[in-house]
Amino acid sequence: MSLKISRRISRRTGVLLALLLVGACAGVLGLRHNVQSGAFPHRAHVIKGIRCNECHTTITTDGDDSPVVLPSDQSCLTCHKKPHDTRPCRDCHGSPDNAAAAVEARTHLKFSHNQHVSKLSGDCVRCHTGVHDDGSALRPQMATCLACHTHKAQFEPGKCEVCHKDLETERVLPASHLVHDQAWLRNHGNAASSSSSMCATCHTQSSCAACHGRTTAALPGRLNFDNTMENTIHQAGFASRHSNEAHAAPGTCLACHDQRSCRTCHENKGVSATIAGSRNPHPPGWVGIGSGDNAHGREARRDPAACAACHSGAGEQLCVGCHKVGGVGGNPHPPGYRSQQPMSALPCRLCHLP
Amino acid sequence: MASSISDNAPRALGTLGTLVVIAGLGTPVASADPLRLRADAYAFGNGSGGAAGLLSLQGRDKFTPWLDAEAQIWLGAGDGSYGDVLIIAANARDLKGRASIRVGRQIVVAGALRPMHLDGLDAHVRAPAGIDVEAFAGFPVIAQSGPRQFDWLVGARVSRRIWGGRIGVGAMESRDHGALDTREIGVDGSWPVNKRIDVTGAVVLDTIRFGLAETRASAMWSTRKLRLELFGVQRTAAHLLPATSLFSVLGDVPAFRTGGAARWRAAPRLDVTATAGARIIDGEVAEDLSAGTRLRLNDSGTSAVGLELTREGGAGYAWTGARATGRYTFCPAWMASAEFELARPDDDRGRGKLWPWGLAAVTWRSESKWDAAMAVEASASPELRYRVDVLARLSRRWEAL
Repeated sequence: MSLKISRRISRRTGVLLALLLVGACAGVLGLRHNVQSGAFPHRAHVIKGIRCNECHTTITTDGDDSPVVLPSDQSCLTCHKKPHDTRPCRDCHGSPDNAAAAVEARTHLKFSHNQHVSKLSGDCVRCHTGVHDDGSALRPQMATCLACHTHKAQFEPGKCEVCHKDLETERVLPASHLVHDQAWLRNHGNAASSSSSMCATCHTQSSCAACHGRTTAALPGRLNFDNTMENTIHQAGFASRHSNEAHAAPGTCLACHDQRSCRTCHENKGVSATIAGSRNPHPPGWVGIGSGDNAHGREARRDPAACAACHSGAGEQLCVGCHKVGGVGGNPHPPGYRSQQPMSALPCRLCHLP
Repeated sequence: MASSISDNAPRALGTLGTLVVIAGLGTPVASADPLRLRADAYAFGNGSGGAAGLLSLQGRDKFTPWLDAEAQIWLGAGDGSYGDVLIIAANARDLKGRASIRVGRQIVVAGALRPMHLDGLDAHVRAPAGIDVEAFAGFPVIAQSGPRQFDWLVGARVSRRIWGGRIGVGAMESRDHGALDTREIGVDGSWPVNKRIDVTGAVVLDTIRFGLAETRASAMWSTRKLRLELFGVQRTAAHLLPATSLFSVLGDVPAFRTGGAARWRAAPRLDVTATAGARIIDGEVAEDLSAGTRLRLNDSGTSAVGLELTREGGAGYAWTGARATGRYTFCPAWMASAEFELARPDDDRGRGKLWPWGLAAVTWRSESKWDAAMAVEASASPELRYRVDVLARLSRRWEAL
């Protein structure tokens, strides 16, 4: 009885602690909306009937590439004759996030306030809907743009440059339909198969070639070594794990690597059975000589790409010595093996022709 | 055999010249798309005195609304280093989006067929009734501009929009020194079944030795907070190897991988991910598990921490690992990041019981389009008891109308 009660109490304590933990971490987890106390009280000014361009005086004259000009103290002093502080007004009455968002938009988007202000008769709040709220997020969402500009003709061929100056440097992901998370490395082949034009809206040829190119200088993970949060192929200590991972997924390496790339790299790094003093990757008795279990045939059938990684080209002669027609190694083909290749073609002629 | 940098310098300089010519052609156009250039200089050094350098140059320009070009080249410094061209291509398109052609060194992605890096051309025609036709031909790229003796590659793909999705059929053939190397047919499809469910799949058939080279499929159900996925992948290494390889005659032993993955936005700044699957190779079944979480420390996600746990099974190659990552943005100009991984093989085979790896980096970004980063990387690997590397990068971007 007492055991049941103590269990119930400990369960309640656990739930209570969990709730307390979530409550305490609500801000960090983003559960509590982080209202910036310093966000400019746009709403209060709009309610007073002050038109936006009374403070944002240059909004209709600024060009697409002009620096962002935020209202100066002089604008405020027009009405607030007696300032209560000597510091610039925006130091307290303005959100740095909103200012940064304005600069980001000016840097990356092709947008003319002038055209919009005149068409909307100065009704800025129609797009800057955040003014209705606490004013902590004033940059309109893309959906706001699409409410008027459907851009159907641009979406189909992927012409994002009509509005976005350069999506690659903007580094914005349209959260509504594409999230490149940890599963993306596995899935992107399927997505690229069916909608390569969609990929091309953000990515250039260099993006694909960064991994799939035969002439990459180094992988993206190595070149962007400071971007530790991005999921890339061969990340972290892959150099240590690569042998395990290659064995776990036969053929996967061939999606990007030439069949000879292992040998080239191992020789460059001095890790190769063909280099004196290096460690032999094969266990004793690998080919039936000595006390081993002659495992090389089974392993070769399981992952022929691993063998080809070191023994392709001239190295194939190592196999032919035993497995040629009439040789001691026997027939390496599985039952029912067939090929469209003539006997005189490679690799058939290595074993089948005298 | 890696050629020396002096052997390859003329070739690399020639490419650099081409890049400069492309840049020079970048006259202003009505669309006001700027000429973009980017240069990255890297330096890598380790405690044993080894050092290497790398200079990467990228350029992109839209000469007219119907013609643009892109190039990326690099030059290395250090033992066995050289220079090479990653991409150098010009793309011309019909302004109504009905046809386009890209010429030069490029990556061709044609449905289910494997991605191809080639020097050649890739042409698209968009026909009525949602039909797209693509044809490509060229010479497979060989690193260090290696010798070409009757190497070529040709292929095509036809796809059609159907039931709101798209299905495509492609075929390619390549030759290595004149000998038939690869001939495959690929079928791919993608269907958004409804607003929440997406299904995609691809099958690649090797027609030289008749067999499935690769099959992959996935079905995904997603809401704003939760995404669930079922996936399956099959690869047969013997069919992915060139037909000229002796190891391609060893027969079909496909490797399967199947499982499910979930991504849950548990809180506005907290993502939780998990994958549970199995791998089946030659009758041997092994587990494939991972779980991770990422917490963004601010709404923009510029500061974040993450943790991942991984378990890959399999006799002789199983391993368990944990990886922790973090990034903190002090101000728009300065950022610090760190990553740490600990991997433990089940069967170490004398290669060390633990493989730790760690990196700490500092990044600086200026408003004048300069950025720089420096990192220290330390690890213990199967080959080395310990190793310490210093990595540095200095980048500059230019935009000119």
